Amino acid sequence: MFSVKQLKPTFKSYLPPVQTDVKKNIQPPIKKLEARLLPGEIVVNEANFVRKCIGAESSHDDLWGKLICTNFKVSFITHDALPKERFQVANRLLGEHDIPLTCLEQVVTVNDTKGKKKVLGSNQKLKFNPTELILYCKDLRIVRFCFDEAGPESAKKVCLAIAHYTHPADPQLLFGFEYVWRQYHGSTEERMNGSSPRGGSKTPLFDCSSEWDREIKRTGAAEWRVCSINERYAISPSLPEYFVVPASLADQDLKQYSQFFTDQRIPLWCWNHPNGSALVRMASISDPLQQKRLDQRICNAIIKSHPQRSEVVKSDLDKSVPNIQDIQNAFVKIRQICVMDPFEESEEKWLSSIENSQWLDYVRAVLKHSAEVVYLLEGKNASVILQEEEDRDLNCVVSSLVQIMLDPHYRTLTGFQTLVQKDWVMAGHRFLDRCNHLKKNDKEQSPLFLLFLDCVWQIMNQYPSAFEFTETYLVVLSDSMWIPVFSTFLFNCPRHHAETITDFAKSKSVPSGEEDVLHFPPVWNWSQQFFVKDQNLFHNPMYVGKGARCVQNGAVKSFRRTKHKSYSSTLRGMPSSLRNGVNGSNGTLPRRNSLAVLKADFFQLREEEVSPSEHFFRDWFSRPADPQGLLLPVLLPSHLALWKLYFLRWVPEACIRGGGFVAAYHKLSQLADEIETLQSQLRRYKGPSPAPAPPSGPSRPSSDQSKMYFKASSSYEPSPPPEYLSSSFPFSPVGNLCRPSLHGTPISKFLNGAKIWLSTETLANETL
Amino acid sequence: MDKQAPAYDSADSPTPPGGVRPNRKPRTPAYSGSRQASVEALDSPSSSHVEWCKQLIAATISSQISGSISSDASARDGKDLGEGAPHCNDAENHQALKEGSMQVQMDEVPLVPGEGVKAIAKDVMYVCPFSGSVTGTMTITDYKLYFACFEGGSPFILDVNLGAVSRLETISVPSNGNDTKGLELVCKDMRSLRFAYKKEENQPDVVEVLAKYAFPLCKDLTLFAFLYKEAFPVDGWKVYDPLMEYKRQGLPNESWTFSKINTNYELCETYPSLLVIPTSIKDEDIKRVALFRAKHRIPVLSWIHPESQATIVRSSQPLVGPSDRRCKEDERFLQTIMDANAQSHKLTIFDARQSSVAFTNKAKDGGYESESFYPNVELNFLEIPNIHVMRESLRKLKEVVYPTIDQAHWYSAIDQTHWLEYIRLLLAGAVRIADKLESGKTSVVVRCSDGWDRTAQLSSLAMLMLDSYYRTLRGFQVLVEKEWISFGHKFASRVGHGDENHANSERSPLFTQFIDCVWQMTQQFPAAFEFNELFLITVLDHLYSCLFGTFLYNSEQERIAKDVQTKTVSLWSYVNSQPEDFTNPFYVDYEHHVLYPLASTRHLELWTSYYARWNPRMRPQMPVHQTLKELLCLRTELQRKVEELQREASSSLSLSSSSERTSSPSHQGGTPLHSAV
Repeated sequence: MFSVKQLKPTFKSYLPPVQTDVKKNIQPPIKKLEARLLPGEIVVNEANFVRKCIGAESSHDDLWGKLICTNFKVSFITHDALPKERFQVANRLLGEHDIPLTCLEQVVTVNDTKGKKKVLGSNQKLKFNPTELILYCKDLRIVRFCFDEAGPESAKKVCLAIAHYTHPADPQLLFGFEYVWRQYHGSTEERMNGSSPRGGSKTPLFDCSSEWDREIKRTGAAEWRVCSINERYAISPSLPEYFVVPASLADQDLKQYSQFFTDQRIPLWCWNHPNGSALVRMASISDPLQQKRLDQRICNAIIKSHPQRSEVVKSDLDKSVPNIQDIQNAFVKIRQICVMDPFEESEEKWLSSIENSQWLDYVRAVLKHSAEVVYLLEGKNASVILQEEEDRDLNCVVSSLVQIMLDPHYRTLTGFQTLVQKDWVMAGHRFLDRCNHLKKNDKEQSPLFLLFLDCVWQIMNQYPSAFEFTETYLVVLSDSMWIPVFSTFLFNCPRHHAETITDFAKSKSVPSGEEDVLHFPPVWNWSQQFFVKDQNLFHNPMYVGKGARCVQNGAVKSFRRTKHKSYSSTLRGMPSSLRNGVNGSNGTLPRRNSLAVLKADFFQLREEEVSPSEHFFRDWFSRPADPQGLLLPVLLPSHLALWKLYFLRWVPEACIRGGGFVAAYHKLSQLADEIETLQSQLRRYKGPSPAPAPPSGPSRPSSDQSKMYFKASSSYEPSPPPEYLSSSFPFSPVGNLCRPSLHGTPISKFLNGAKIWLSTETLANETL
Repeated sequence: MDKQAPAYDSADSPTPPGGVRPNRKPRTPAYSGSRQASVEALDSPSSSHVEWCKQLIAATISSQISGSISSDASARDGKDLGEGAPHCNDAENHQALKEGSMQVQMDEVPLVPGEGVKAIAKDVMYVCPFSGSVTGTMTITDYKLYFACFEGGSPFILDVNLGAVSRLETISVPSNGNDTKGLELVCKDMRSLRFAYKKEENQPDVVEVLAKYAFPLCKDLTLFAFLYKEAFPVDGWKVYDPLMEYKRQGLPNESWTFSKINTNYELCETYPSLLVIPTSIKDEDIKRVALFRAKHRIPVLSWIHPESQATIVRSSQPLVGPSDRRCKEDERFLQTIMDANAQSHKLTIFDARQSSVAFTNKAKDGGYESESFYPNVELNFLEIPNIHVMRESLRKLKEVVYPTIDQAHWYSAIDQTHWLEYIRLLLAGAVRIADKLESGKTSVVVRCSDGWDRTAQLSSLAMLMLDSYYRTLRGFQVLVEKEWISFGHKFASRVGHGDENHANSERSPLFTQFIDCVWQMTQQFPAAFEFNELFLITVLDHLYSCLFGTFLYNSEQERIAKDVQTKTVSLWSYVNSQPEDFTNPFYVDYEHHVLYPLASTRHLELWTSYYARWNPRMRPQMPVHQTLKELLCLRTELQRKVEELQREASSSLSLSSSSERTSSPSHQGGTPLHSAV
């Protein structure tokens, strides 16, 4: 019924339908509109004379062109240019108006005249001729097409095709497979050279034991070893082939223990603190009879692996953090508020609505739990086991957040990718199910990875100079989930990945032994999607001076931020003295006990019980924060904000023209570029002297290739940021329609260039 | 004061990397005379404010303890100066604070010049809502309340200027028998402080002393501004010269002229003496118009668009009354204003009020221009509630942010105060005004009832959007002096300087609201304003402090009568004597750019670093501008290094022909950015 082989191009050309009321602004395309196709991509259906809605009020800015459905994307080809100068980073896999099919959340057809509306699923019938097609996307875009000039039949067909291909019956029908197959067929030469499974990226994939070894060495986890009992997935279906276990546990023991764990997921090492404490994750123990014995064995082994034989604390995530369904519900709500609800009506109760969605509550809950684990590892010097029923969802979120807070390595670009690969992809997070790529089971869908990215953003927002990458990187990473060619987001676990490839190879009769060549690239090789110039948007100019070093008096000296530390000490100095004030008062209270009987409500003495962890946090906050050391997020509601770039980037009314953080980013970027130039100049003057080579790795700017997106201007007059910058940068809400019917507001009218205000009365009603 | 000096010192001369400064310059080069004289006067507003923003932390306790120790600090800090960034002197100071505090004389209260101690009470307990109670010594001067506790490690200092006190309340505890009293200071700057003390025999009650100096006008005393004796190197009273400002705008021109009709405030006592009105209007007619406008506040020009000649005109409501009175002269006056702008055949009136209120006003002899009597006039109501609603909103906001915040319902609690909603209405109104001028090329009349509250808010915000000059540190001062102070925003009534009648319904945080709107704009356009957040907070603090004469009294006429300019110091003297502290390092001139902030609650935020600054847990994020400053320092250092090497290279040999030297822009040392460090 639905297989790749049937995908014959079903190209049909329709003459423009005879219309009695020909609209004045139709300009039949002169040149032929051709879809830009990737290797393996096939046009399934298309319709001509389709109008893509740009402006909400009028069709003045709308674009005319051809709507195409391929086995990869919904594409819109037009000769018209967008009405305004707009800025959007180009994706090499996708055109300006393209949406991957996997990115579609809902396909809705509308018939205006009949007042009908239908959400289309797979293999469905449509009883009316659609006049409009609205695509709700998983990246929060909403795109609308009108068929007022297209043939009714072709309009219907293209809608049905889009709906059908959005619901693939089998993972192998995801475009990635066709894409990979074509690449396999590509020249062998190319295969030999360029496209190794690593894809040219420095990010370790953790599919071999040496990469785990390196991680053990890096963290100094001497008493831990790589274990290979799960080779060929012999023990657990969802664990990776190689993972790290306490050195004191023999393979035989592990095999025996494994049968008592859900999914045979025995404890999995994540990370070691320099003090020797380990972060470990595991599934719940399925056999209650074995619970105690097993717990003890595991704990003993972990204690043995600790240089100080410190205790082990178990942290049960099923009890302490929201479940995946709650998180999904919160996401649905916040998406509704941010992009679906009428803009003006949601203005007045905006903050309350955000609060009611509970999304930020969950962000806080997860961060809070992670911070408490940090306290155990850092403050109590204890090893921690994160336990979750399946060990594949919130364990991923919490373990990776803990590591980001504790280990600055994971705040570098490569480090962060390593972390996602290690604690998400290899640990068996069900990306396929959670992303619901196959649209099979909505109950399995949950934006856990987005929740994680949001949490990272919150830390980044509080410590803007602590990360090598930018929030743009986080957004782009989240968007990449919806492009179905990356191994990172297509599978439920490593075994699923491997088996799918084997099956696919079989179905394509690939000679055995050559399956390895069929591979999905990980997302980490960003050149697949972006030009090097645009990848510079990932680099945080404020991170300059952290990884980079500067040459001083002939010696390379690391640019430590001693000064900054002492600066922060002023920040933190106040709470510290405050706390001392408390201590002092403890001593003075008894002396003045006559005062203690004063009206209680007048004093509101809040004698809180301060838990040891709270004490640890207060103490930490009273000291300077080192961006290269432990970072704890402030969890006050005033400090956890809505991630506006992610949630509001497509909303035209919420876009600040010429403003937003990018104005500051622009200046920082130019300055960082200038610093890099100076540094490379210094190096050149030094010549190939014996001066120690600058550190290798991503922090080293090569002289002709700066890492900064905005280059230092040649003139010395600082200029305002270019006008195309906006709070949505590097995305543009132009051409993305946020809701079917936009209510005119003064601001949106202004943004749309309208000069006429509504009458006084209407405005009065609107502002209320 | 002395403690700030290092900031200028090192900003001007970046520390050589890798080495200790051989000889540190005298630490007070910037403006020695007055500074030296006030070494002991650490508690001048400058130090407290600079601390604020530099720390950007809610400081219930201020940290200005000692200045005499900064030299120790610098000596000690010398050893790690090699690491580069020289701008972190506040850190030095702070370190100094910690360690130097041991040497501080415990009972020494820092005073500003002219300040005198009025009462000292020992064994007073401060009931801190954040960390429990502290017992220490309370000193009351004619300017501030100073509470200090040096027990138990680091000192605990509380410093409240009495101008900020809105209400004093006492609670006596009769059951106790030993004259223990409770005292609460409710402050205009969003905090409330609670003390407990024993009433001593033969000692004046601290409450009486506090009341006397917090509300001097009720006790026939003068405001502290008249006693303050600090001498600043810059005279802030010279910042605003109306003639110069109008000339900057290209006035007078053929349509608009300077009128002398109000020189002695005869026409309108709440207007400034210099007014800009249409050239063709006779004085006789103006007088008639004055009679037809509430409080005689006739339509006068505030701002003129340099290209289209469209103008912002401000006035009060017409006295139409229930019988629909007309005034031919007034009708002609508006027609003339419209005609002065050749680009448009319309004149738009923005009435800030709610239309229902405007209608009610008509019954009370006020009203609005009828479109049938004023042809080509378009009337818009901006639906902004009145001063009482705003006062109530801020009162609710205080409950939300002080002393404790409700973690679970923070957002909805903010919503319920409606504070941000009113901010949005104001910004949206100002955007409409600005857009009418810029895109519609149409002149506008902005007014409410009397034309001194919402009118000032809207006209000044619109001008800030339209004219990049007002976004500079100086220009903003001019804007405030012009649209608020000279045009008779009733600061004395709205703030209640030195007045104990806290329940007076004339009080309202209109200016605070305006500054909040400005802050919202700075958040949306982080590089478009020359001043920084500290500047805005400083302005608000001295709105209440009564330290400077800037915001005293209700009108220009009153200020002249009280000799404010000769007897008090201007806030701008203080600000402009150390502009570095108030400068935004991201600033680039958006010349000729009209800024349209997005008046949507999606992008409006509660200004927690002002409203919730007393809460020590409200620690701000690591400020981005700090990172920028560090990068600027790093660049300076690298530039110096590169130049040094170039010199070496060229003096030694071969490289002399290198073209690289001129290839990079980085060689020229002084970029405009430098001044911002």
